Amino acid sequence: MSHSVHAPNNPLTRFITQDENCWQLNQYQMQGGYDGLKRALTVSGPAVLDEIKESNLRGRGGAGFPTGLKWSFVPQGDDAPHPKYMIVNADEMEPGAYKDRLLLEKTPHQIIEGLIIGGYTLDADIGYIFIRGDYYTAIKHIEIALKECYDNNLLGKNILGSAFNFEIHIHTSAGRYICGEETALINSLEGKRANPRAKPPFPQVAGLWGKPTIVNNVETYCNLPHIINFGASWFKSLGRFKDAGTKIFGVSGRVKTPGLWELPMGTPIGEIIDNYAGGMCDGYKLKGFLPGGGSTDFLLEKHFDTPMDYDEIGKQKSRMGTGTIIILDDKYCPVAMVLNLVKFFAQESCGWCTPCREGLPWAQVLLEKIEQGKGELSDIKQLEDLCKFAAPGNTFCALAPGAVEPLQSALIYFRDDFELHISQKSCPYCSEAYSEDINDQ
Amino acid sequence: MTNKVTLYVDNIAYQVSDDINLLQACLNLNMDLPYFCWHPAMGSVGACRQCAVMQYQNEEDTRGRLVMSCMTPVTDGMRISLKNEKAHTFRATNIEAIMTNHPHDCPVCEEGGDCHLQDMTLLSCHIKRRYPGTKRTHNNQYLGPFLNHEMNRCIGCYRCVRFYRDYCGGDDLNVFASKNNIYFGRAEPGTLENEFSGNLAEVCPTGVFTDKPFSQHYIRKWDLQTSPSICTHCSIGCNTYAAERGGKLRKINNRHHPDINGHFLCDRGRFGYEHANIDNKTTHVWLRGDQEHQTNILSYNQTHMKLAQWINEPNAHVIGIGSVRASIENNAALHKLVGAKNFYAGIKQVELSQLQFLAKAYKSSQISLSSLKEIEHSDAVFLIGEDVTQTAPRLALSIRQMTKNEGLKKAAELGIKPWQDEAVRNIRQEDKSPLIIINTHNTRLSDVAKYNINLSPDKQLSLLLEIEQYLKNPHNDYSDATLKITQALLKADRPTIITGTYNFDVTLLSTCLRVSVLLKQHKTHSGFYCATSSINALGLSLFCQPEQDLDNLIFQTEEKPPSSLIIMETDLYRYYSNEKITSWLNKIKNIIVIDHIITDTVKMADLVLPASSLFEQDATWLNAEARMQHSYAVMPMEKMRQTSWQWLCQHNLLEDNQAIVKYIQDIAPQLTPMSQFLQNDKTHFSVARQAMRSSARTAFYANIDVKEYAPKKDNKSQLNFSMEGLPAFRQSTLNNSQHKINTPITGVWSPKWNSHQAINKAGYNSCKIDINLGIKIFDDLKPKHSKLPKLQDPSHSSSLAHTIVCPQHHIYTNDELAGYANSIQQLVPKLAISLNQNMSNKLSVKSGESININSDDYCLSLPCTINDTIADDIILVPINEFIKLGSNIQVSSITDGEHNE
Repeated sequence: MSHSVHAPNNPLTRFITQDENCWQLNQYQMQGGYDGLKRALTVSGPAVLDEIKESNLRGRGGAGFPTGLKWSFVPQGDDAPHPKYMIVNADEMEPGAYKDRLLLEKTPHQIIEGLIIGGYTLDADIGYIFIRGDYYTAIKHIEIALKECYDNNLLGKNILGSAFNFEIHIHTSAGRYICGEETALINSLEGKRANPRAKPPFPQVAGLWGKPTIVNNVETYCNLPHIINFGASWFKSLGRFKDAGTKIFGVSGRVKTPGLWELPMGTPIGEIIDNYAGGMCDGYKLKGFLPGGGSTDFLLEKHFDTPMDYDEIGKQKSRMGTGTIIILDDKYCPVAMVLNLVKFFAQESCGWCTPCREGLPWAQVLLEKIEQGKGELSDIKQLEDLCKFAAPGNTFCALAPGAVEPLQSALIYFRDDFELHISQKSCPYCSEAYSEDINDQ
Repeated sequence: MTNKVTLYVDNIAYQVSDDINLLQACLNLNMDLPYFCWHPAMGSVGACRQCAVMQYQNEEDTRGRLVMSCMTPVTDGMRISLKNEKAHTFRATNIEAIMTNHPHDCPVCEEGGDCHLQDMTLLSCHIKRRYPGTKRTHNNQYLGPFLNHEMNRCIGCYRCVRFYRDYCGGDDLNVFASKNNIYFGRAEPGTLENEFSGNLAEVCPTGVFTDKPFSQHYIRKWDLQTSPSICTHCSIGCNTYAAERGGKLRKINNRHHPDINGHFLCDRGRFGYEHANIDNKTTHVWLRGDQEHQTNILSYNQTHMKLAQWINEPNAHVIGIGSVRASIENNAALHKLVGAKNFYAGIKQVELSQLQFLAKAYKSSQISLSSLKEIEHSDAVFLIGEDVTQTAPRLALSIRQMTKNEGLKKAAELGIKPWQDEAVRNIRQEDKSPLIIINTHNTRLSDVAKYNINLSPDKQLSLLLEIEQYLKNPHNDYSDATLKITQALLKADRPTIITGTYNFDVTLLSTCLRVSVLLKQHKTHSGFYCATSSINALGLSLFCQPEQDLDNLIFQTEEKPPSSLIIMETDLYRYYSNEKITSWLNKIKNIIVIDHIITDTVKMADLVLPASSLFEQDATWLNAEARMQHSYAVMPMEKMRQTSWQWLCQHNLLEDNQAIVKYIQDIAPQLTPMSQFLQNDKTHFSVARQAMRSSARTAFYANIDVKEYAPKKDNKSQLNFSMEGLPAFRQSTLNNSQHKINTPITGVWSPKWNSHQAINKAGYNSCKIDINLGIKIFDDLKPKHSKLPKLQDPSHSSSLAHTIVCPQHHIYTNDELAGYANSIQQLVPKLAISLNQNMSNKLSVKSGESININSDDYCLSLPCTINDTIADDIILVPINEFIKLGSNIQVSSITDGEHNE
């Protein structure tokens, strides 16, 4: 495959300009939008898949599964079942994550282009964009973008004069965090209760309505046009460490300039926090941070040199997750922060398997007890037990293991804080009046 | 095909089959591995996480990996540990988590002592509660007369919704909300609509859904006396456990039979037992006095003198009417007493013709009778002219399972095991094995039917005749329906043809049989099933000559009535108008009625002999698939009651069971294997009907007498009405010894497994003595190349199925005895005639207006309801009204006059 030479180093955000209409088709196309699709249509689906495999692209939803490998399980050839489905998982609800929102609002065509390329690659028939219902602007933009595509032969029959037909529908989610789990998403799309499904069968083989289905994150799809356009080796060259490409990283919390930046994979954590987020606000010290959103283990300042690279962060016993860092400063109670997160995940448990359904509310009760100054030392042991209880493999899906990650690491790194809550029978971070107020409740 | 493979559990090697999951394998090996969401009939979903075990990759692997045994296939050389501390801790924490919201209400919970959750809690060693929070609470719902609802006890295993929705196809029970607040119930309170809802009481591992009629006379499980019984509320012959205390039948539970009911019963069978408890029952011998309203109670001696006097009086002509709800033994005893010529079946002519035709056809090697299990495993069903959900409900549940086989096939292609329930469902989606229904209207099974064709009976017959022609000579000039149906049937490997006798159409039945024969020529593994009207309908027909039916009896004796008439266990008023029966009975000098309840017929008797109910007698029954099964008494007989054959034995010289069986072998050689059920030998071992801990037995009758009465003796079986004898769970230990006990186990209890759920564990490898599975009487008798009989006299087709009036069945009205149960009475629909809009226009009636039906014997007038799934040109009349109609039927609307003006 031949590739464009003028390769950018910020492929995902290069279309985003100050112009508030930069998301529209004409602007997108002016800057080279849909060139990737046009290029893909000149070669065969398997050739595109080879390019994606070659690019080393890993899923940007959090788990980092190699995209090309995932796609290669979809049955191909004349005997393959049809329709095949391609789904964009745009149900971004992870605490601290807002990277997909940027892409959805500002570059809807980039997502659609990626989706069409994906459909072409796997000979799929129908695409769905499963989007968080609260993303009103994004929904509006995607709806308009889809219409623009149908009007310009980018969707529908014989796309751009090729023999390829593809439809895309948008589905706004009714709002459950668990819908971000790909099989729960599929159930939800089928109109069923959003419980995760048993695997096998994997969705690639029997997913939506029992047909081969691919579910990928918004950001993953956004990378596709550029990989096709500029080539796998260009894509690999973007990464500063082992992983390929760029990623949208974010920082939230008490830093000087919280926000989102497209940076090469493998950018060291400290660089993101200090250089891009401007370091801690005056008067606050960094106590710890969640490197990849609300369902990842805490890391400390000592991990600043770790590159934001799936495997490297894994070595530090955390996960890159969504790449959106949440900062815990020295003036905020770690117990309260963990409680807040556990409460969210307990609320969002679908109620299917025991460790998640019963274990998370249990942890929530214990954390509330400790935060209110009513905790006992045995509660810490119980919390540890509950973290082990909800470990990967013990639960039906990844929700509960992710939910206890901040808790299990907080119990290690901030154990003193837990013990202080218990020994002084109140939250050391709250003013006395505040803690009494909580106690009264 | 299943293979035996080696499984190492805690380093000990076992041989297990490889087609099951690890949990099942461990349970089959009698290991104590706790579980909740798995169910042998519903498969695995991996929700509860309770069955976790440690799996090792090989002998060297010491770390292992925690796996859910229900989700893990057994493979050769697999190494697992149940005892591993990590696995044990996980299971203990898991049950502790499950119990965080479970109330401590065992002492007031009806599940207590019969509770899977109690068993599992102990098995998992959860003793101390650490959870400090408050428990969540829910509102409970009114779910109708069959089930109590106590949602606070819910442990979220999802079995109820999986059973109700996925297994039974119900849609009015669901799971709502999320996290630990999940709620299993209806969108709003109301009666659960599905005909199998009662199983929820057994499917639920704890006390969320409990048996409501049982609540009204509740007794702890360990105080119940239980014995293996057969459900007599339809022709399927499901296996049940009947449980009793103090002379009152308390509860019916499912008894696993692999080929018939499996793990589930219908609600009619589960809740229809109260005919045994009602006040309106016979207890003494009553002789009509000389004066009006005067009844004398006779002693046994007086009774037999009276009987002898009437039977032996000069010029005595004694007629006996046998019954479809009476056992083979009882019918035989009456047959002997009155003689073959004078024995009549207590059913109408058309039904006897149907049954006798069936019995003849079943002898043919061209017909293979399917069991319910075989139906479940078939890959196409052609259901003709019978609303089986209403007439033989358990059969409908099996047919529904059959439709899932297409999904299993697809799953197998993807390497998914059949027990991976949720995975299979996701793969299956809407793909179904073909179910083709020809009926008069849409039924409960229509939602899973590939083709559902509603036609009037004459059109049903023509379609079937066309299908017959196609199978003889396939070409493309047939109607679209014929081509579609035959293609679906011929595409299958094991198609089954299912029909029933409740359409009262002999011609249709014989055509079904011919089609079945033709299909078998194409498909060797095709099967046939015909539901009959009652548990022993087929058995009764074997004792009768053609024309020995009620229609003929009444017609023939109109002029010359018999001197004495013995009516056994049947209510003639169910078959004819009151006037017709009363005027006929009034002509007969001596009417003797043997029954256990006071029916309208009993009220006409001159001599009433109190019979034992099903639950007081050992009896043998022949179900619709010609399978002979034996049921055992659960309680001694009350007061003067005797089993019907015992009342007659002094007069017919059949003095004991053995003599009766011998007589039966003479008059119906097909029933010869019946002798296998005989077992009077108590010399070696006998079995207790009561649990070992049966308590308060000394106090139970303390209001009557301070002394404890000796338990009543049971001379007829190897079972005792007491705690004495072998406990049920030990029976299987005797299986291989010379001291074999032939009776099925009397109850489900074994150490650590107290609840009825233990049957899920036992269901797979419980002691399976062949005789306990029943005997299919035609299986061994079939001479090769024996042909289907020809329908001899076309006049037989003078059926009840008149051109426009067809019967409409209802699960809660079709069966006589179930109608005595209060819970079931509450669900009996209002009597109404149903028809479609075209027909209502034709008759000029609107919904709610009345329709008159006049016939020679019976006239009725009922309001009508419109149902547009009903075929054109017919009206549906409730069965109990329909059956009373005679010939010359005229249908008119009340408003006819007005319209004519």
